[in-house]
This record gives sequence, C-alpha cells and structure tokens, in this order.
Amino acid sequence: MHVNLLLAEEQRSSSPVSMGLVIRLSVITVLVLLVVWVFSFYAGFRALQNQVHLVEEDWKRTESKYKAAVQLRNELADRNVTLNEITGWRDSRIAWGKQLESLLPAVPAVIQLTELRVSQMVLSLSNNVSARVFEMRITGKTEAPRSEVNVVQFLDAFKQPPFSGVVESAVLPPGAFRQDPVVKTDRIFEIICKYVPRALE
Amino acid sequence: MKMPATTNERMLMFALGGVVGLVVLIGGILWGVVPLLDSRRAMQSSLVEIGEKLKKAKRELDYAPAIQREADDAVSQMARIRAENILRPILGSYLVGVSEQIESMARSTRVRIEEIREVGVVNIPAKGKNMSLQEFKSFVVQVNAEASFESIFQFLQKMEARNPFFCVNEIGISCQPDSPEKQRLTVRMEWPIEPSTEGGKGGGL
Repeated sequence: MHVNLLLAEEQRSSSPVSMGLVIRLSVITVLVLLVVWVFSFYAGFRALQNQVHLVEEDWKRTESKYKAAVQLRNELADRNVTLNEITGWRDSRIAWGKQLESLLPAVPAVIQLTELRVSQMVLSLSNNVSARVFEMRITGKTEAPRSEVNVVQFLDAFKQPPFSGVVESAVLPPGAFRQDPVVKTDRIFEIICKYVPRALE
Repeated sequence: MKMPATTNERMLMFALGGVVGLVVLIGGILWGVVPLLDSRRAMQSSLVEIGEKLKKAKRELDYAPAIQREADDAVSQMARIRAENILRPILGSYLVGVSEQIESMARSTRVRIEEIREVGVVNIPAKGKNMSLQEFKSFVVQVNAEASFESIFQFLQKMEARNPFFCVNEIGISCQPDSPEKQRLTVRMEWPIEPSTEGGKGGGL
C-alpha cells in the first residue's frame, strides 16, 4: 500500500531541472536576446544616422560646384547652338567666284553664252533639315552644224570635276534647244543646273 | 510578493501577466520599433538617393575642366567671328561699310559699279524647318554693275575671300549685243549682322 500524504500543490518533481527554472531561464534568455537586439539595432541606427549626415555634408559641399558645372554645360550647349547655326550658314554657301571661273574653260569654243542666272531657295529636306538649293540657268547659242554635239559636250562638263561634286543635275529642258529666231543658222539653248542641296547644319 | 496558494490562482496570475506583457510588447512594437524601422528605411533610401546624386555630380565635375576648355574655345571662336565676320554698322548704317567694301573690290578687279541698292535686313534660315537664326540676321544689297566675265568672277572671289560668311544668293549676267566684251551684272549679296547687340537699323541712307 502506498500512502501519499502530500497535497497536490506540495508535490515536487523528481527531475533535477524544475519547470520554474526552465521558465526563468527562458525569460532571461529572451530578455538577453532582446537587449542584444536593441543594442545592435541602436548601434546600426546611429551608424546609419552618421553615414547619412556625412553624405549630406558631402552633398552640401558638392552641390554648388555641381550646379555650376551643369550651368556651364548648358551655357556651352547654347553657345554651340549659336556657333553651329552661324557656321552652318557659312558652310552652306557656294563660292560663286570659283564656280564662274571653272565655267569658263568648260564652255566649248563654239558656244557663246548669252545669259547666266543663279537663284537660291531654302527648302526642307526629308530629314526636316533646311537646306539652301541653288539653281543656275545658262542660256547660249552655237552654230547649227554640230550644234547638238557642242551642247551635249557642254552638258557633259557638269558631270566632270569641279562641277561633279556640287551639281546634282544639268539638263536641257524640253523645247530649250531651238533655232535662233534672229540668226537662222544658229541654235539657242538653255541648260538648268541644280546644285546639291546644302544643309544648314 | 507571495505567490497564490492554489494552482488556479497561479494560472490566472500568469495569464494576466502574459496578457499585460503582450499588450506592452505590441505597444512597444507599434510606437517604438515600427517608427524606428520606418526611420531606418527612410535613411537608407536617402543614403542611396544622395549617393546616386553624389556619383552623378562627381562624374559631372570630372568632365568640368574639359567642358570649361570647350566653352572657352566656343567663346573665343564666337568672339573671332563677331570681330571679323559680322557686319557692323557705321553710325547706324550697314550700307556705308558695305558700299566701301564693294567699291574697293570692284576698283581692283575693273568692275564698274552702277548702283548699290539696299534690299534690307532679312532672317537667316536655320536648320529646323521654317525656323530662322535667333541672334543673327542678314543685310542684303543688290549690286548692278558692268564688267568682263573674268572681272566678274575675280570680283566675287575677292569678296568671298574677304569674309567667309559673305554670301551671294542671286546672280544675273547677261551679254550686251553692242559691247560683247562687257557683261551686265546684277548680284544680290548678303552679310550676317547681329541686330540685338548693335541696335542698329538695317539701312541708313
């Protein structure tokens, strides 16, 4: 027979590690971990605050220099626009003195030029860039025998240097080669030279 | 503090302690930890943002000396163009200076000038469609003259060599039946001007 004289609340566990100890140790461990986390969080937080403060200071020192550099870049862009515009205009011109000088040896000896007209238009190219387009109209006359050969020979001169690089087309429009109404033995003609468009850029 | 005697009372006390602890923990998280975490997140993003700005600024500052050199170069080029190639008015008149140039070149190339007529100040077309230069315009004159073909091209060459910004945009040369060695010349010439800085008027006569 086994008689238990202890009340339920007076009973103790026979284990060397009591429940109370386990609970206390757990609470202490949690508290220690919490304290460690709080400290490490605080330390990290302060380090971050310092880092932000340092980069803010660095930015304060750099910002004015950066703004000046950006302003300089913008000013340079504006200056380059003005410079490119005016030099683009210069580069789009044709040196007509040189063109007329080159024309002289290109005219066959049997052809007499009677009129020369140059005109300029500003057109927009396919890429929406404006360009100067020059047109030269040359009127002349030649004697009837071999007149066709002479005019074709003159036309061919525009396919040779120094015209070949600048003249886009040189044509005799329909009806432009005809008998001279004054001197019946002569033929008169008109040649239209279109120059390569010169972009304003 | 004396522990309650019965198990039920102890359990009740532990439960009460647990509830109070939980409330304190939740309160601590809501009013303590969450704002701190938010603040840390804000600082981290601020750090990244400022870091990016600094990186960009330092890159810009690395290029600054080269940009400064380029800007100085552009300024000196523009100053040279303004000094040498942009037509300046003489006592408010562009025509006076232009006439002097034309007559001087004509004399040296045996071109007989009949008339120098002012056409006016016109816009200079710009690269963009239907746009014109903002700072510059051109002063246009029409010259009527008489000369041999050789003199005409020499005259134009001299004018063009004197100022690379000088442009000829219309030419009319026609032979004269009564004097075949002389041609009649009509030429339209233009020079860039900068009206905004000069306040000068186009013509003057």
